[in-house]
This record gives sequence, structure tokens and C-alpha cells, in this order.
Amino acid sequence: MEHLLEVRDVTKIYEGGILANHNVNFTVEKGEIHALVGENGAGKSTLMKMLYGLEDITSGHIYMNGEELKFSSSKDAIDHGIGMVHQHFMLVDSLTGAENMMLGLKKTSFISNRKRDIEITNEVAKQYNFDIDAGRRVRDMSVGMKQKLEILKILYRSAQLIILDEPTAVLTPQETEELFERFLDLKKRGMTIIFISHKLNEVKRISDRITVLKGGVTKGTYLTKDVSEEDISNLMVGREISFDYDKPEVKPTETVLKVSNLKYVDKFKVPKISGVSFEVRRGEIVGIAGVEGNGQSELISIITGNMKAIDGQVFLNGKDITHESVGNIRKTGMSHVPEDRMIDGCAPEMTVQENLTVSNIDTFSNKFGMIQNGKVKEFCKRQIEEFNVKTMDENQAIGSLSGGNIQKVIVAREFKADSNLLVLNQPTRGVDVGAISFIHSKILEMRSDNKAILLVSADLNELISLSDRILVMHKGKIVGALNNSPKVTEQELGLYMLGLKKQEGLG
Amino acid sequence: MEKKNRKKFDIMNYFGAIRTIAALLLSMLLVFVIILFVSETPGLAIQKLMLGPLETKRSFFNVIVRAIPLVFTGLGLTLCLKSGIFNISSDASFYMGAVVATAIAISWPLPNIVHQTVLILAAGIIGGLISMLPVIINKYTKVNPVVLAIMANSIFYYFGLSIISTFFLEKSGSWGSYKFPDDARLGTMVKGTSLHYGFVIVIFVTIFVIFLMNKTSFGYKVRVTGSNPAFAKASGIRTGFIILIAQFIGGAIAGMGGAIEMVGVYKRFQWQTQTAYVWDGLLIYMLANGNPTFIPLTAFFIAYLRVGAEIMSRAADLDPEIVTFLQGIIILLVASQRFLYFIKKRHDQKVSLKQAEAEEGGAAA
Repeated sequence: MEHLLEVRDVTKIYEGGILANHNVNFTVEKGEIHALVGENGAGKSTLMKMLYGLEDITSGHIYMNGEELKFSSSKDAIDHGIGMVHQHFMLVDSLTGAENMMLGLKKTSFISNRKRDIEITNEVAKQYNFDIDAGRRVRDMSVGMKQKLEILKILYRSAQLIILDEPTAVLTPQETEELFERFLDLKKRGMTIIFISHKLNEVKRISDRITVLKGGVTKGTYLTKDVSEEDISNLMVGREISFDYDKPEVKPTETVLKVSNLKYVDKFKVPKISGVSFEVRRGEIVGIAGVEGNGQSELISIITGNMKAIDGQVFLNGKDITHESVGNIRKTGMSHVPEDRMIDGCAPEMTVQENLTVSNIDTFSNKFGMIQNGKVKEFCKRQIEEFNVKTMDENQAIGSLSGGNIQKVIVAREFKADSNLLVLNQPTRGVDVGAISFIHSKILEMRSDNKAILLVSADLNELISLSDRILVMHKGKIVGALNNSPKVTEQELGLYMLGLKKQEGLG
Repeated sequence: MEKKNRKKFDIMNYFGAIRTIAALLLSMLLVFVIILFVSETPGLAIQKLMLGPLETKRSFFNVIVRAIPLVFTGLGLTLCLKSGIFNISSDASFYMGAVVATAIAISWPLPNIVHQTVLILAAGIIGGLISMLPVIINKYTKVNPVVLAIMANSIFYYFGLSIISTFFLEKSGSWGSYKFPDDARLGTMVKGTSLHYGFVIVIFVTIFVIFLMNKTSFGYKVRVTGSNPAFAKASGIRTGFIILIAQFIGGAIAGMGGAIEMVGVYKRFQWQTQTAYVWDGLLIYMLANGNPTFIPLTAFFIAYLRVGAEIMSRAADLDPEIVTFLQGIIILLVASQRFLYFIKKRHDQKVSLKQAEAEEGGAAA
């Protein structure tokens, strides 16, 4: 049988040699809802951009109905009946819904006919059971309506294959539910849908088959009814090796970080953190688990001073740092390994040496602000050796190193800053196995050195093998505080993460 | 094996420099071809263009004098651009620096040396403050700083011009201010040439900028902020403050450049048209690949071409504007990121595929 779409050995290398997809293979059948899941940075969006003609393919082939596709722009993709709803809306805010519908169409007349446009839009909307106000300007529409308009736009261009890139990320549960009903309706009409998400419950609810991507490589395609959410999450995170460390006995002493009743609401007025309180003491590793998007990133951003809470306090070493600047928080004694190492963790064009010293450069300069080069060089050489960074020398640009080595440089910088609290956000994401176990050993070393460590990770295995206590976040709240000795199981963590199990009386 | 790897890597490290030189050579070649077509004495024209400045001592020192303001704007732009803001208001700083210098030179009698010092420093401060404006206004209005900078260039040109016309215009003969007193001018350094003591100052300023950018924690913070502002912020650098100070220093250097050019080369203020030093500064900055160490070199190169073109136009049947054409091509080639880019792209792809395969091999084993 012929597949509607077949992706064979597709590789994509971005400028600067970043490998986003490597020999990706998967097929899509006509009339199915096919989910594409994977962590952030697994290469989902890149793959879809290639399917839609937005990015060119470095090597490999894409076939549709047996015919090879060679797109030079998204127009070609639209002509082949492929439509895409992007993560961020591609609508013109100042135009009405009907005007957005007509944009870029060939058959429109030179002089626009507003009344006719609105009629057509309403007709199409009615045909597919979508409820939108075609005469309203896009900027006055709700997020849910914008989403529907995007899909209608694609339907009106007679697409047979619709790609949806995390369509529910900005929707409320009710809007999501309505959208899913429309999807199932479209499926009945013979439409094929590729649905990208990392919300596993949604994927499980509406998809027929699931393809898992990890680190730019396909991990396989499964029938949705054959796999559980836990199975998918294991495949997404991947666990080729199990970490089993001998943790030395360390008695936690005084409290270093105290978070009390923290609250945060994002710009869509969605509460992201609703009253979180916890403590981290010297000599313990506190892990934070949770399905992505349940408030962990926001929590870390607030603790590290990169975002401001709307309510609640953060204390570091007994000092209120809720409203302090990042620089002052660091001086008070916090180190931070950020989630996205290429954006917040390093300056890719600068050298390893410069990246190693950025947050503590003032300790290397004399009172005139002059950098003591000898001291810096010696420090860098020592760190490169101690952290086993594979680089030509300290003057190589950090962007040319592999992910694992970049991460080691960042970890070296933060761990050597001599602070009491280490905040580690996904410290081993997208890093090779060797670097993972090395970074883990360093984290445990820091624990023995009596540092307080807050660890956020999507890798449950990592959390379980390192943490002394694990806090589970669900919908902006801590729903479980688990003592990790004896070790908790991934299954139990999973139950809390999905909100199926809850401890009462937590913040 | 290891040695071979090292060598290969080094070549790609110098990719930027090789590309710039290739762009220079290619554009020179193009200009030669054009000269061949339009000139009746192409041999003489090319010879005068390339070697003219070396023929007399006077013309050679002329090249240096022409290079001095270019170095000032180039260095000033280095600080502004390195902080990540495309603040090209150096022309405003430069012009106002010259106006301030004129005002102090004419209306404030001071002893020799003190007079020059005061007027150069005052020009620097005014230049620095002007250069901060685009960033400050941008913070409150969110108007693109490039637009603000270009507007500032226009506004301060007319502002400066009206100051000169209103207060310092000599009402006789051609347009110009009163003459500067001798104790306000920078004296001639080498007899029989136009080289003035601004040359010494430019050397000091160059060393200062190189030192500031490469050896101090401030310069380091500027570079981090320009290279990745999100990272700088996450590392606790006060990016807003750093950017502002960088603009001040950059503008101050441009302002001092304006003052030095005015009292070094001219006897009275005569700039009735808008100066265009910022575009020259950008050209020099780009040719130097943003490295302050190379700025005197690239400034000398551009000044050399200009003096050469003038000598050529006197000797042969060509206009000196041919150099403007040459500059255009150089800018186009240096600025176009895709020029010779395929070499780097191919190299990068090979490296990352190799890496991926090695990692997969490692994971399988």
C-alpha cells in the first residue's frame, strides 16, 4: 500500500554545523492523526519546517503519494496540499479574519470585495463546523479563535495534510477540547493530520499512531493503543543506561534556599505557579519533577532573578532576594546552570576562556578593572583539565565544541563560583552519555562539599539517581514531596506528574 | 593525526581574514578593469592610483592625516557596535565635537596646551552624551536605535551649523568662522607636511581602546553583552548600564576626533555640508573585522586609496570618484555574509556529521 507521506533518511544541518535531524524515517497514512512527540530540541519543528518547505533538506528524501517532493518555498507545499499551523500564529493582526483567509490566494481579484470575503469565510467555517467571527480584526480575537482561523485558512486552500505544531500550547482546556473535536471531525472527512506535541495525555487522546523523536533521530512509530503514556515518555527521554551511584552519607544542615508561597501568572493570564513553598538545605539535592510546562521553568526563572514573581518570597542564605538583580543574587551565593545552554548559558562566538570566566570576571581583575591574564589562564587550564573538556585550547570558540563539552564548560564555571546554592536546570539535556555520568559525578561531589543543590530535570532516571528528595509539580503546584530513600520508582513519580495522585497539605 | 587536525582547523579559523582579503583583491581587480575601459592612459592611471601617495613625502604624510579622523570614528564605532547596539550616531558626535572645539578655540582665551586639552576634552564629553541619546530614547520609545542615530546625525548637523552661523561666523569673504588663535591649533609635527600632533593622540587613543576592549573587565562585559545579551543578563551583568557607558566612550572618541580634525587640519570652521565619517568608520570597522588592533591599518588603507585617487585624477583623465565605487564593491563583498560562505558551510557540515557518527558509534559500543 502506498503511504500518503514518506520521510526517508532525512538529515538537516543548520548553519554553523548544528545537526537538527539525522537520518529521520517515518510514514503517514491517509486519514490518520499522526502524533510526533519528543522533547524540546529533539528536532520536531525542524522536521516539519522541511515538510512545509520552510527549510531546505541537507540530505534525504520526502515522498508524497509516491512522488518525491522538492520544495523551494512553502507555496510549493501548499500547492501539494500540505498546510501548517505554526507554533506562533501566522496572521496579520490588523486585518480581519476574512482578509486573512484571502491573503496570498491567486484567485482573488485585484480589488477586494469585503462582503464577499466575509461570506466565503463564513461559508467555509460553517461547512467544517468552526465558529468564528470573520468580520472581526485578528487582534481582537481570542487565542482559540485565532487557532481556528489558522486551520480554516489551511482547509480553504484545500489541504489534504495538516501539520499542527503544538496547537494547544496557548489554549485553555476548554478550547483544547473543542479543537480536538474538530480534529476528529476532520479525520472523519478523510483529512490527514500530523500533530506535534509533548503533552502526552493529548497525544494519547486523539492520535492513531505516534512517532517518537529523540536527539534528532526517530526512535520508532507505534500504534497509540499499544503504548501507555509512561512508555512514550521513556522513549522520549530515553534510558540506554541506568545510573546507579553510591551516594555518600551527608547530613543536611542549615537551610540555604527558602521559597514561600510563590505565585506567577503569564502574559496570557494563565496561572503558571500557584503558591509554591519549599526549602533546600546544605548537603542535599532536591529534585523537581514534572511534565514540561507545569511551572518548573518559571519557578527557576524566578528563583534565579530572571523573572519577577507576582507574590511570595525567595530567601537565599536568610536574605530576601525576591526583588534583587541577577548580579546581586549571584553575589549572595547562587550559581545557575540554565536550561538552554546556547541562549542563556554561553556566548557561542566567544572563546572557552571567556565563557569560563563570565559570571566571576570581577574576581580576576585588580582594583583598576584590569584583568589579570595569568590568573585567568591558569584557572581556565585547571578547569579544562579537571572537567575533562575536549578542546584545542582555551582560545577555541565555545560554539565549535560538542554539546557535552559546552555543558561541561558551563558546569565548571558555575560549580567553581564558590556559591552555597547550585540551581541546575536540565544539566544533562542533549548531552552524550559520557558527559552525563561525568556531570553527575561532579554534582555528587558538590553535595559532599556541603552545597545546597536544586535540580530540575525531565529525565526521571537522573532525578531518582541523584536526588535526596523529589518534589513533583503539576499545574503550578507541588503535588508530591517524596523522600528518595529507598528510591522511588518512575511509575510512582509518573502518577504524581500526571496529576493522578496527590499529597494533601503541600504548598 | 592530531597534528593534521590542528593544521586544518587553523585555516578555518582565519576564514574571516582570508575572506576580507579576497574581497579586497576582487574589488581592486574590478576597478582595474573599469579603468582599462574608460581611461586613455590606463597604465599611468593605475600606477598613480597605487603608487602615487609614495611619490612625495608630502603626499605620504597626507595619507596619515587623512587616516586620523577615520581611526577616531572607527574606534568610536567599535565600542558602540561591540555592545550589540547598531548606534551609528558617530557623525553627530564628530560634527558637534568640531563645533564645540571651534567655540572654545574662538571665545575662550587660554594658554597653549591647556587650550587644546580643554577643547578636546569638552568635545569628547559632548560627543559622548550625544552618542548615549539613541539608546536612552530607544529605552523609552522603542524606536529602532539605528533610526534614532541617523536622525541624530541630521539634527546635530543642523544644530551645530546654526551655532556656528549665529555666533562665530566671520562676516566677510567665503563662509567660515573666525580664525582659530594659534594657541588653540595642533602644531605641525613634521616640517613641510600637513602632519599635526593629533597623530600622537590617535596612537594613544588606539592603545587605550585595544587595552579597554581586551584587557579590562569592562571591555569583556561589553563584548559578552554584544555577543549574547540573554547570557550576559543571566550571568549577572548589568547590560543596560554597560551598553550606556560603551556608547558614551564610543561617542567621546568620535567627538575628540572631530575636535582634533578641526584644530589640526583647518584654520577656521568651514564644514558647510554634513560630514560622512560614520560611513567611512563603518567601512573601516568591517574591514578590520571588528578588531580595534586592525583599525589603524584599514584606515590607512582607505586613506591611501583616496589620496592615490586624487593624484591619479590630476595626472590622468579620471575622476577621483572611482575610489567611491571601489569602496562600494568592498563593502558589498565584505558585508555579504554569503560571499565565499559555501566553503565554510561545507566544512561545518562535514565536521558535524563526523561528530554525530562518532557519537552514535560510541553509544552503540
